[in-house]
Amino acid sequence: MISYNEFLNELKEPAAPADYDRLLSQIEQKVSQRRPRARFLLAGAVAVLLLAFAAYFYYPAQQASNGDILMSYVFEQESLDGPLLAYVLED
Amino acid sequence: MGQLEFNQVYAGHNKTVWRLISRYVSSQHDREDLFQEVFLRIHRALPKFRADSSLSTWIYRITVNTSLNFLKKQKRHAGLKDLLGSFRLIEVEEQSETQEPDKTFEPLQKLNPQQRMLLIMAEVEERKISEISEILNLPVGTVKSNLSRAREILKKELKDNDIL
Repeated sequence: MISYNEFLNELKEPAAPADYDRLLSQIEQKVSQRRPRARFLLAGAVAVLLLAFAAYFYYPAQQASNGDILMSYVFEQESLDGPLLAYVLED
Repeated sequence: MGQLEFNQVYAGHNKTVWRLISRYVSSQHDREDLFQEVFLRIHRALPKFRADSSLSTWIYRITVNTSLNFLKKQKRHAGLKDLLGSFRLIEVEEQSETQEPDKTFEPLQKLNPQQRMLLIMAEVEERKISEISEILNLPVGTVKSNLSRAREILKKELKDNDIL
């Protein structure tokens, strides 16, 4: 029969021995396995960013160009909020 | 810090970390897993280490928090394993010698991971309540009430099993 304090004292007893050299080599192995994955993730993130930038700059350029046709919008004088009266296409 | 410095940290603190985690988890296999997880975190965080606190305090904090997460994860897995085992969806494996838990820890099984950590930090490592509160990022009142509950549960467990 042991008391509460005796139980705590049992927990304070020295731990079972460990093979620190073997554990270190396993840790180093895991570190080297994680590095390529981190590089791969970084390269992926950079690629996504570049694609996003390219899409961002390419999209307005496409919108502005419509072959050789220039398009003008005609609104009621002094009112851009008013109804569109006509539009003129010019070569 | 580079690889050489990690090796220095490892050489200087491996015994302390092992001693700490041996109190938190019961089987040798789990201790080795947790030990590696602690040093992997130290390896990752070492370049960001600022000398605001001492290196040993910083390592202690990482060890405690990694151990608490480990115990929580272990409890979730055990619950899931029991559930799947009860439906015979998985075979319950025989425990090998290295997986066999240390019998000293049996009464602690009744405590949840947080109560277990609090009890060991306060009663075995003899840390102050304010220190535990800061390390685990918990209010002082929560630490006190959970610790008191943990003591009650443990005493009851020792008595019910005719150990006390």
